[in-house]
Amino acid sequence: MKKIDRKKIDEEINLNLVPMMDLFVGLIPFLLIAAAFTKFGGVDVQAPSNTANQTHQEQKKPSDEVWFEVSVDQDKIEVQGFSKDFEKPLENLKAEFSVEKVAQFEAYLQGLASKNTKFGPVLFHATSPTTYEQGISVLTVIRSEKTIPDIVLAMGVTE
Amino acid sequence: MMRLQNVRPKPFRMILLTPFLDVLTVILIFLIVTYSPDEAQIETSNAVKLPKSSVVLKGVPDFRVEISTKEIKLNGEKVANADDWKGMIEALQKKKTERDESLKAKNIETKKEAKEGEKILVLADAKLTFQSLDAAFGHIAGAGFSDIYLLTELTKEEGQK
Repeated sequence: MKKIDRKKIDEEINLNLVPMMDLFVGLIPFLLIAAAFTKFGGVDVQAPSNTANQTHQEQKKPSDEVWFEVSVDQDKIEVQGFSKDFEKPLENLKAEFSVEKVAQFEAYLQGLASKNTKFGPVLFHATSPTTYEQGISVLTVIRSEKTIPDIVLAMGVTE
Repeated sequence: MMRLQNVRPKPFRMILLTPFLDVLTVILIFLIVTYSPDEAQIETSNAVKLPKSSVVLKGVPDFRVEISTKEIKLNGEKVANADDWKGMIEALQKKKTERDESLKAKNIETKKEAKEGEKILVLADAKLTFQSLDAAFGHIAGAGFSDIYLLTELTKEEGQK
């Protein structure tokens, strides 16, 4: 009698864990791989009103900062350096590049950074015929330079 | 006298799977919670072909505006026709108010949340010109958004800088 009872107990305990293991082994790699696929790029810029509120911080900054204005006109990139607060243009910091050769603009910024140039916010402006793609390629280069604190978009006036 | 020895076959010992399952369950829950990136919530429509860039997106704002040649969408819903900036602004301000009220109702009024409310993600087609985008950015800034994130497709040169 006892032997029969033990057999019954043994049969009840058996659980089929194979489907559950399949689930785990399938889900975990899927989650690991799927998470890696969703990667977007993005350039963060500031609206002009934000920099206007930072005057108290600007007062603490040293006066040897260089503030740049970058203008994109279809296939041309014009770079002009200014003293702090865009007070006066700096003649030795003026350059022009082609949008198709944006690597030259990148090298220019890297050269300035290697000379320990203290960058202030960069004012970005694009003319109406300039495409968004062209603008983004220039903004990417500016944003890639980590010593540049902010990029300020010069925008159209709205009512 | 011969002793009868009970020759019992040794019982088959099953592999203990309980600890293994415990670990897998914890890993699975961890992955579900941790690897649910905000970027997965960004849906781009076929009307918008994003420009390419090698800069990684830092965070996903609560507000997402999609600007194409056909329409303007806010958080995936169409709110205005192309170049209808008034419609876009009205929808943005309405969403912003809803967000602020929701935070108030939950008694969450921190500086961090206020700062998050000034961020917006812009999805625009690569072929658009700054003739329309200039106006778009101006209106977005006028609506109180100071941090604008321009969404792009990440190129393979990520992490070089």
